[in-house]
Amino acid sequence: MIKGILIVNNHGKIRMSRFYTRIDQRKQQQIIRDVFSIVSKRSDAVCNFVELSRTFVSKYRENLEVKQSLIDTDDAKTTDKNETMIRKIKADRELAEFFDSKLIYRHYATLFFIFLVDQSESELGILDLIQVFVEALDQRFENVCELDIVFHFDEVNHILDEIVMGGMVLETNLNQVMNCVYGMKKYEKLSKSVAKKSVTKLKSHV
Amino acid sequence: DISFAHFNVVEVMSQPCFSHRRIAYLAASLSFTVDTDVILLTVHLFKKRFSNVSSGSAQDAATNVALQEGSMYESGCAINCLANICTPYLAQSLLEDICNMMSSSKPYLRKKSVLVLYAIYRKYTPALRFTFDRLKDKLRDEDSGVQNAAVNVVCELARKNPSNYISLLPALFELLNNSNNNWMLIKLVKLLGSLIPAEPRLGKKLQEPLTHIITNTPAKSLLYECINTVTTCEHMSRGMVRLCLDKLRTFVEDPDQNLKYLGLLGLNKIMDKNVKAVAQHKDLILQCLDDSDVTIRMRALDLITSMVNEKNLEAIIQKLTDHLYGTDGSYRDHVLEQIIQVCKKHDYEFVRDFAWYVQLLTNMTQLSSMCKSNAVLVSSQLMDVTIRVPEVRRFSVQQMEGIIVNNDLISDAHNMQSNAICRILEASSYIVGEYSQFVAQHLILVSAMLQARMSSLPSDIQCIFIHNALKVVCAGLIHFTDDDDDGNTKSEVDDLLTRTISLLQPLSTSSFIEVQERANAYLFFMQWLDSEYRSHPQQLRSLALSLQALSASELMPLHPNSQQVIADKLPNGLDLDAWIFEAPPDDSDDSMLDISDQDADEWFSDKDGGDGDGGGGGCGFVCSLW
Repeated sequence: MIKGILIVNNHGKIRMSRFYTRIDQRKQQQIIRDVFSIVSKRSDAVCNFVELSRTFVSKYRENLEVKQSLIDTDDAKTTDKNETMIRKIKADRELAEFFDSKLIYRHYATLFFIFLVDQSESELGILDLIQVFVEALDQRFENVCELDIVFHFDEVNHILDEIVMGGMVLETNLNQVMNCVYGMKKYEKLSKSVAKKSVTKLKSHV
Repeated sequence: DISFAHFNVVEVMSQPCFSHRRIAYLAASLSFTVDTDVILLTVHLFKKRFSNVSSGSAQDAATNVALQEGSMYESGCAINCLANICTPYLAQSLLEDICNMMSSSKPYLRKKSVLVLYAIYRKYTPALRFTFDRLKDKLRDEDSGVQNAAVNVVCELARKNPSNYISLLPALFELLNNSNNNWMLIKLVKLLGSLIPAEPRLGKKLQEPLTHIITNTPAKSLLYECINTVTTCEHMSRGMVRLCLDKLRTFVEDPDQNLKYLGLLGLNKIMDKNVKAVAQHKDLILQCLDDSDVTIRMRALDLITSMVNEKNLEAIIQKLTDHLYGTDGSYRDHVLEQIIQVCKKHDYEFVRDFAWYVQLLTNMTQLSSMCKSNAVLVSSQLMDVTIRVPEVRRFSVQQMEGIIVNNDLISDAHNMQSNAICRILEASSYIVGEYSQFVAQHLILVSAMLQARMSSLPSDIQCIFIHNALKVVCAGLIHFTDDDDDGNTKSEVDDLLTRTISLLQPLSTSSFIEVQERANAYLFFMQWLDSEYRSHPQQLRSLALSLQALSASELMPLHPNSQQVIADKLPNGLDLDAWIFEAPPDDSDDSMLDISDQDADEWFSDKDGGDGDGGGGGCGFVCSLW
């Protein structure tokens, strides 16, 4: 399963992020920062896979063990302070699970396309998938650049939805993906015109 | 966090225009969580979309047809949104609609509805029981996309609970033999691999089709997956092993870094079962150690450390230590740890020359900024080797002397990061004290151990230093009084005693209780020794000897089970739970103090009453102090 997809630029600004598991907002930002710090340090000559477990899990797990003992001791009291602490600890636990995964990324000009996957996905397959995604964006936007992603982020998300749905890979064939994307665009236009017509129809009745 | 707008998102979802609804679906996917309460309102909206009601009555038939096609996209988008925001309530209510769509005429819808099943199963597990048969059917669907989706779902499910999906094996095998779609084959192979632990015979059955794929496929990803799955089989035939090794070797030799990494990963997995087979490629792996990519080096490191034996240990360690000096960061810590783990595997099975090992450990202490766990490891190794291997003690003590006297180490200890170095100092001072008969330069060593800068070290390290300094002083005194022909015995002894006393004095006012106690106690000893020496110089030796009797008995490590052995055989008549005396009254503390005072008085009055007694009484006094 794919846990998250990020598009980050060379300076660390996040252009698109999709997470397919429940993660608290602030933790999402933390993940993005950590992932970028790993990926930006790697030169272009090294391999495109990073195993997160060796770098971060130990740090987060230590943090988690310390805090876990805090909740276990005072179970009886449920003051406000404990509530926030429990929430924090749950968020940390999600984070620790999150880091039990692999990072597969590709660097295109100014952008990093990063996929966080767990053990059930094939590494080379995901690399291919990133390629398909970028090619789909290219076909849709004609020589896609970073600005396209910034100003048409909804389209980017829609294209991504045709490839990956709910963390599972839906379609890997570029032609199929593009067919669906163009089909939906046509349908959108059509439904807009139908909606307009029906509005004008109402007016004429009045 | 846009929870204020959640209701508006749901509102837009009910708009007649598709493009608006699409935007709402996106907003929902990005911001709704399991706790969002307005999700309950979306159920009805989804139901409407799923039952394919094309809204609005357009004028011409062509638009109608187009709208019908478009409704496929409608439902598709709705399913997408559902997959992202699914909650148990949504899953339960919409399960039936999804099942209906699984038998839709359009493969696009079938594909999506199968895939969303996984999201539903995650939130609402009974759904699996209801839809399992349908899922099974989808494996035999005519459209390859739908088959792909079904395999995907089963693959994820089988990771958690493989035994439930054994019944799907015939269908899966059919797909394996007939399909051309690489992605699906990859998933299939992964799926079959995860089923092997549940069904052992599967391993044998798989060998043939997998061999066929491995030898014929051009796709590297599929090749790698097959090799991966083959390695999880219980028992691989030799031909199979050779085939996999050949293919993996081509991966590792490939200039593409990704393939190299995967090749090493695969070799790692085979390594667990056939160490010898992989050891043939040792030179190739050693080459990988020099690669510029950290990930590859880590993998190569793992491989190397598992193929170590007696002959190549020193060569490999040599190579690894060269690495140590060239790199930094977490990689270096990792290398250090691995070096030590390798050396101490199976109780030092591979280490022939312990002096070499001690030298190695000492060299490691010269590295700056060692992480804490590694420092603990190094220090425990130093102590372990020195205690258990008598022959290496002299060498070890010399090395440790070097470390302590070398001022850099103590000044380094001031930095926060090098808190780890304190562990090393602890080990070295223990060794020097315990085997002080081998110490060469007593005066210099004691000065270094008790120097003023030491007072900024943590208190437990200070205590250890003081304690061991005493042992060294005793050994020094004995040593000096040994060489009768050495003319300057008197001056050496003088120096040693006065230096020790002068160094201990500032420590006796330290703010740490333990340090103060020890410093005071030892200061007292030294002053008493000094005064004895001034009055009866020839008795110094015997005094020092009896003082040394404090630490005379040798401590050897015990097997962890020995306590249990004794505990099991209680001698008859011994009841461990009976009170030895009567139950103590509340003011027991006072009586303890009285006893110690009495001892002290006795001892004070016994000034020149014989060496052995004084020393023995002193011993008793010391024992009760701590």
